[in-house]
Amino acid sequence: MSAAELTVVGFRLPFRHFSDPGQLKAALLGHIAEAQVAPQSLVVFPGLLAMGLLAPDLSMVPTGLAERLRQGAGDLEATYLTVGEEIARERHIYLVPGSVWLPAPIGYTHRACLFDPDGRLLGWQEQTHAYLWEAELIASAEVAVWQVGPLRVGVLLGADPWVPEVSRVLTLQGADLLLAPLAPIAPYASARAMAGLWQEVQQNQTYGLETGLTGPFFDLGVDGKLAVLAPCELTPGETGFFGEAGYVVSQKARSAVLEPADLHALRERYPLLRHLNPDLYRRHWQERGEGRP
Amino acid sequence: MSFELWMVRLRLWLASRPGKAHRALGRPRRAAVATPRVGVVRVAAVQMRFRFISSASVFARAVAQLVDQAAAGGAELVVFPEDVGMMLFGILPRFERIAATGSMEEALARIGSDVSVSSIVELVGRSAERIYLSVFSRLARDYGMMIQAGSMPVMSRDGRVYNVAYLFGPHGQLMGTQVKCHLLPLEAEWGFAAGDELVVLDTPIGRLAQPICMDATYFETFRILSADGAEVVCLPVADPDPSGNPFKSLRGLWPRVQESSVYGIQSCMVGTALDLTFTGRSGIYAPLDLTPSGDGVLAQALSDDEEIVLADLDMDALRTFRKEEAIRANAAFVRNYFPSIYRGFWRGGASGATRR
Repeated sequence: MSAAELTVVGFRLPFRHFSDPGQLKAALLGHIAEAQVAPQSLVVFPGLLAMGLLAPDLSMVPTGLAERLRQGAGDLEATYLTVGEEIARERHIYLVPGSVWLPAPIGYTHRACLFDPDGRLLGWQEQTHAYLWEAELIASAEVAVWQVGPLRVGVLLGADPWVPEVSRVLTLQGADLLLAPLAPIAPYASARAMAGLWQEVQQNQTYGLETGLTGPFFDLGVDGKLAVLAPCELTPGETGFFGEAGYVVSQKARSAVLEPADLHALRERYPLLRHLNPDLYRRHWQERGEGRP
Repeated sequence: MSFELWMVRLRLWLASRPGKAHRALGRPRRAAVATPRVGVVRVAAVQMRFRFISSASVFARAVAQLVDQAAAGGAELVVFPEDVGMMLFGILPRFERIAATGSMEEALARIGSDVSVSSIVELVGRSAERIYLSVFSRLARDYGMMIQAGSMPVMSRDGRVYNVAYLFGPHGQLMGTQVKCHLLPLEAEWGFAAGDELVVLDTPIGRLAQPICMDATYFETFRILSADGAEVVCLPVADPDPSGNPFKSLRGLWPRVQESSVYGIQSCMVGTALDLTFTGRSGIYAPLDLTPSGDGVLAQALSDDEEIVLADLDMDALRTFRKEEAIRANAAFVRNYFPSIYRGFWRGGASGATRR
């Protein structure tokens, strides 16, 4: 891999419980080894995978979840960080070790972190838009973009891939690659998936990586999918998918080599964002009395 | 303007007298068939094959045939593709021979050394617009239906060329217009200008909007329309992508309908115009949860040729659905980023090269 490209590796994995942090770390390292991940690659595990550290009899139904997390999450945040940092450093990879629900003083948050190949924490991203049923989730009002090798990366959690404002903000802040470590409640139909990150990648001309948690998740069911995405023009058959067309529901891992030069050439050739109409949008926000000029 | 060009314009203006088209349409037709249930509206998306048309009467008959089919299917609203009015550029004398050159550049060069698409619009536009408006108005009145007449390029008083969509009511009245707000890069090269206003119209079937083609590539269009109360969005399309790739065609109206919880009616132009090949399948879309198969598609064209696509829109179901939006808004997020996130893109601001 040259410095001008980035290999990304995503996973679609069944949820499981872990008896201790060592077991979680061993499981993640096993998946990385099996996928033959090279140093300096970016690896993204499914959303909420690390929740397997919590007691199996904990209920994840939305009502009262914040209180149950306060009582049952223990040192989940510290463990999640430690495991992520160690794996990133030991394997010399960029890493998003899935995401976690963490108790907050009021409600709870949904967070994911990103490590660099030296095990340094590049930053956290919190979910910014909640589903109605996530009544106790405290949504963040900020998104961030980080440099990962030759690409700038943003993270989308929970409902965020279905809120186009989030991907637009990330893209206008410079993101070239949108990551979505998800654990969508079952059923998660292909049509709904296509209306999510795939669309954001197309309308913002970025790369994308969606990873998914599957199977029973405590007392819920999740049905994640897996895909490495790009604007149609950059993929075989112009499908928007690296590999066969459509979201992966049968494989565990998928990887692709992403080339920033290809993306930038496409943006020059077909400059979608150059035809944004900001004066129109500005007037709309001003007339509605929302937003900040 | 040279005397020769002035004469061409005069001849075109005389040829565009409404009487010619109206005579071709014959006596008034029947009214649209009533829709099956209260609160349900039957709509039609017209998939139309592009050809340059040299007379008002031929244009009138071509459009009337499609409206008649839609009316026979019970449609109360019929939506035509983008650039329907551009077919009338064929009224330019000797245009058929010019168009046979194959490419846009060659065709323009044949007309004159410094002729652009905009100058063709300047020459033909007023006459073509007169035919276009009179035909659609008359058909809407004759059938007692609403017709979204696709769009046509129009030169405004300020000398700029805009791509404009028109909606006619069941009495033939012009209910509203919409200027395309996001240009195809090709249109920008042609010197077209973008509009800066989105319009939602109160109509007998609900609140309706009519952005054009590329407007649906940008979620912002539909967020604004939906916030302003749009329930049904008509989208005239003329996509000059010869591939006809089904994945690329998923980048327009279908996702915007999912994001903004509206019904969407997409009418596609097909066929070729000079060196442009238009592809796409007309379709009628709804939020995933409002479609029987859960795929967001109520009906879609089955062919790449002329076709009428019909579907029933349950307006009550949409209104209920919108009250139960699945994702909570985040006012603080909006305040943080909108509209300031677009600051580098203000017109007259950063250059294209530094806009990203």
